[in-house]
Amino acid sequence: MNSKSPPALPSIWIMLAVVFGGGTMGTMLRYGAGKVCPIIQADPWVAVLVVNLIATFFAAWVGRKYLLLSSERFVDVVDPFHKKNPLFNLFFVSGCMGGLSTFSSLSQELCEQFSRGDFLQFALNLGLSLILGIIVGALGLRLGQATR
Amino acid sequence: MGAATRFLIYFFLDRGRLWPQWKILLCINLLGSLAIGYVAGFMLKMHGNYSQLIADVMLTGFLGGFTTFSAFMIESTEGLQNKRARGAAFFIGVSIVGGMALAWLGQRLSL
Repeated sequence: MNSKSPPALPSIWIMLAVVFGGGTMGTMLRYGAGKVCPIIQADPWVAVLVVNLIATFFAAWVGRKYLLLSSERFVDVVDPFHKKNPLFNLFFVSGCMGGLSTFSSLSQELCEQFSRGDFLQFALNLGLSLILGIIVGALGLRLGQATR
Repeated sequence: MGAATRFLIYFFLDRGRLWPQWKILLCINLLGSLAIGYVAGFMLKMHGNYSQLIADVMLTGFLGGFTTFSAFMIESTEGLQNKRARGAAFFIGVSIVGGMALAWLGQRLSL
């Protein structure tokens, strides 16, 4: 367990610009995935599920790979500051993968599926999101630990 | 814009050591769920008399980027792996039930 203090952070404006750039890329990718659904005749919630799982895997992998463990407090993998290279993590994990995945669309879809009594789709969406999310999250964390 | 706004909230609350990360994440995701319900309800009320571009920018762009599933899942997985199963279950439960309830409430408020 390496106990290092994090590197000095760049200015808030630089960090903000980096997250903005990454977030725009991630959001555009998610938008593109949503546009593919009608072409392959899949429901829109499938696109959200797929991008959420992809983003969880890569965010867990990269977030764990570059994590600096602090002696001061428990540091979560999602912490963008305790990293060997905070700017890359801000761009990729907080920006790209954070922008690619979405929680609000999942809430909205679950709410709609439940409201219209489509309980099979509701259960599938919720179950697959949580179970596969935890599995790909654990795989990403394990890969990140192995490639440190 | 959504991811940058999330980062700003995270930055000021986390650097000030005001809240633990999971609480910040929970509040961001719940706030985004309320907002997406409100905007979706507003669009229903307009019966198609709105610009699809504005809807895409607000729903997919801003609110989709503001909230995050990946950090939610990583926090939950870490909780389960670090023998904080009860905390992780609480976090997942409040996120899912709260997110759905707030999306519904947002929609009701806009109608």
